[in-house]
Amino acid sequence: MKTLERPDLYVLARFLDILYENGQPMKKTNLQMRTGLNYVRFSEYFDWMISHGFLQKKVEDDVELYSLSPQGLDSYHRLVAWIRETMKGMRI
Amino acid sequence: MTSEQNGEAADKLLADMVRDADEYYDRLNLQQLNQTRVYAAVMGAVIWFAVFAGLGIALYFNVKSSLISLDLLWAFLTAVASGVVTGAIVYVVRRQRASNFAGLGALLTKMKQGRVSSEDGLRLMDLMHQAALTMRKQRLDTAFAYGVSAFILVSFVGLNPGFGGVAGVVTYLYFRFEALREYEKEDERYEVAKKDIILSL
Repeated sequence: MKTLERPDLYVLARFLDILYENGQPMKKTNLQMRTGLNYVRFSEYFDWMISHGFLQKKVEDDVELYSLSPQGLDSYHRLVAWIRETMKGMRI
Repeated sequence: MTSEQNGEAADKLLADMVRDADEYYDRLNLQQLNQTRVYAAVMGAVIWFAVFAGLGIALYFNVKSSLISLDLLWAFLTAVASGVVTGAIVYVVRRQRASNFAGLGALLTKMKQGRVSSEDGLRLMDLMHQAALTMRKQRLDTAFAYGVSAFILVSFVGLNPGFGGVAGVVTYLYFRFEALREYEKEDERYEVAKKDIILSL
């Protein structure tokens, strides 16, 4: 499968938003549905997030569930702080 | 800081973001309106002056001195009408550009009503950036106005349209260069910042 070289910031933010808002670990399928991406695109981003340590896996009753890892949570906070800082620096 | 505190901080940052963007949007609209008014007034005055001076010179050389006052009055009124029409057209055209900010206003309204996500925040940031670039692009019009003003001024003071033309072109090119440079610099800085945040996540 193709690996992402430069992920789209919007899509990353969507992943982080969904997982952050959900709070609880969720199935991969549910995550895909909520991101609104096709399977191929979703898998690229999902693998990218796994490889960067943003997601943590938990197995419950033979079902794989995913949630934000502490690193993913930290990235979410950093993203939000960055948006706020960038906005503050914008001049008309 | 615990993860719960972090979460609260992130939520607060997102809420602050909407408030700041709302203020930014108000300032943007006000500044666009003020700039448009000033630009329309300057262009109107420039056209008034050019028409009146042109007609005045033509009358001076072609009409007998006993009849010139009435003709000058007509020349003055024609120049005023030209200036007013030009100002009005410039005002309408430039105000239409404010519709470029409509997307920002709509997103802000949506965000004020529901929960704010970081994706919405990114969208908001992009729209604010586009709006700021639109405002910078308007400086290209201002460069043109400076060029026309320099042309008229130098032509009349130096009584030489050739010098006026050169002065007008040089003035226009200088201010255009400055406006474009600032525009490109701002855009590049923004794109680099976006690349950096992806790398740093």
